[in-house]
Amino acid sequence: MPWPHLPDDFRETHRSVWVDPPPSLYDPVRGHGVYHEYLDELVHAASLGFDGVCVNEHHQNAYGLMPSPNLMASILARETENAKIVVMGNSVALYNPPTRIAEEFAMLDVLSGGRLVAGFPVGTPMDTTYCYGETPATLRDKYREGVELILRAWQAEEAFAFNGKYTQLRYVNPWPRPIQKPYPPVWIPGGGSVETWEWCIDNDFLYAYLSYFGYESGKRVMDGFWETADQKGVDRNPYRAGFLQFVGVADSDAQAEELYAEHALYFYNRCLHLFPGFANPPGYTSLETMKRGIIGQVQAAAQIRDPNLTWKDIVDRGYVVAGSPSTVVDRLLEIVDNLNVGHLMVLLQFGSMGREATMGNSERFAADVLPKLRDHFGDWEDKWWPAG
Amino acid sequence: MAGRVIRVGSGPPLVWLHNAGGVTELDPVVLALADQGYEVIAPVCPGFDSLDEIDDIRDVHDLALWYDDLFTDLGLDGASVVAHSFGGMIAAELAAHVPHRVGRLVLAAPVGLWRDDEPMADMFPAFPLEIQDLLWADPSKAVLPPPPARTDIEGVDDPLLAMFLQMTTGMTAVGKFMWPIPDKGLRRRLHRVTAPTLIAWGAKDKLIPASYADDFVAAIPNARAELLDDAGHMVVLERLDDFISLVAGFLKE
Repeated sequence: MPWPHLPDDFRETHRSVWVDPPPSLYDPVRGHGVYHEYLDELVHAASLGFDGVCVNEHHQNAYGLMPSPNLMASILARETENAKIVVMGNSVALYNPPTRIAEEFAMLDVLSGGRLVAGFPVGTPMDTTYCYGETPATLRDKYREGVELILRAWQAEEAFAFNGKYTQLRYVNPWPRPIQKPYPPVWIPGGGSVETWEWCIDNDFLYAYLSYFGYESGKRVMDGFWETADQKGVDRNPYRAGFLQFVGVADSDAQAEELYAEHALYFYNRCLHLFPGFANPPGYTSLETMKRGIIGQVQAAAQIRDPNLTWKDIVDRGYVVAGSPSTVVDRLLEIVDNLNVGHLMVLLQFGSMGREATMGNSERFAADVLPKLRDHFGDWEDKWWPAG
Repeated sequence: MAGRVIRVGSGPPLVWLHNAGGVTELDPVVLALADQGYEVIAPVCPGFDSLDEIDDIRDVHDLALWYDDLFTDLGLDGASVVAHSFGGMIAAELAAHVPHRVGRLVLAAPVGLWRDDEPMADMFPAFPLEIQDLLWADPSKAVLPPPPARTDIEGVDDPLLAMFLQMTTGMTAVGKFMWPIPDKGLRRRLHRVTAPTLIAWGAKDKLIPASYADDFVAAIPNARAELLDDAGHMVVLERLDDFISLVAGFLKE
């Protein structure tokens, strides 16, 4: 949900899209229209038959305008009927107490009639440590404790006391409770942290890799996840995993460039224009992960800062899958097979893309691409998706 | 009680509490203090060798008491303590929490206070690439002490990566007690310090403005400040000889 009105010289005149961009670049009157445009696009996608619609949480930036995804999700819960509401998600360490999430997610599950997917990200370093002041050294520990508290709160049959390291509550007893039992599917967006793979496998959480840099960067991460599954003797059910991909569908590969190049370049050149100093506060990435040399998403963003990036680069490197329906289908099947992911999240709006182009992209995808993907892993049972 | 303690020289004990860069036997400040006829005792701050050490050192109070326990183990009471930057915050907290531990106190550009009108710079986004610009009055004259030796980074062959990992470990530990603003209530406690105290500051400190020296002098009952010209936050290295003379003179008063 990017702010689409950053100035042309944003890169040259500002150091970062995140944490400390001047608020004067945001215009709340235009912002009114922007929010409703994005909501219209999500409701439109739901009406086209997409399985779900996703919202996420970011702070103090022009790249994602949803400090509270739950506000948006509550609108979607009411304005859609069948599409699942995927909140990707609430950065647990930022909620005090974390039972606030147990409450709001339960509200969303009840409002939507049991259509919620509960996403629990750690949150980017910018959001958590620089915008919200969380200590990097304890962020993940606090996050884990918060997730544990939320899941326990959803299942407990009576009020209980919680004496945690980061949260102390004498009476935990959230009302309402979710429709889905024992709780909604839990999705964990990860950036390639070794510890997160094990945690997801051990707890049967879905692991999602949210990549802006194509599936080749995702390959190393998903391979690590599946190797962890093997080591722990767990099946390679593709529905254990999710992956995010920019997609632009057009009549032809050439038309895709006409329709989408400007907006993709806006995204990569302005929305990801990140001050590298904010990308990796000491302690955010574990030593184990650093040793393995897996570069987090935001570090990758900070490192690309390539002023000469072209549409051809973006497509060739797989950052965006774009072209005719057959090009897109071939490419996406190659991706989901290579990564073994059963849940594909497609970003059909990116950068400065407006309502018409976004809805056109969604319609083409729903008509010409989605039917060829939907049953691709039909032999497996999807236990990470709302049943209702 | 775990923890590695570096000892250099012989004579009356003098405790050195290191900055966010860590400490080794080859640290120029440690060697210069030892040359003054002291046994320099330099504990490695918990977390710098392994982050597991600070799992249950959750805040500055726990940290101050960890040092109190360490001083007990080392038989130190009424000790002379010299400390720099982050180490200065620890020394000030120890002297405020358990005043009798510290006999004489030298704080060089200590962390631990905050002023809205002159906020200290944020060193964390500057780490690692731009940190030297913040630390030195003239970064082109930066003299880096040897990085703390780590031998337990398994599976890391690349010496640069190993160095980065050990520096990151130290910075992570420092961040645990400084994030996001290193004001954890020290100003409310400094009145408890009984040790005669010398505050030393580089006049050109870009990380913590030298005006913070006045705040420490105002808050500590028996304190005075010395500003050193042509020095930044790394005043202890940028003006090594003069700093050591100041310390030696002060400890003999």
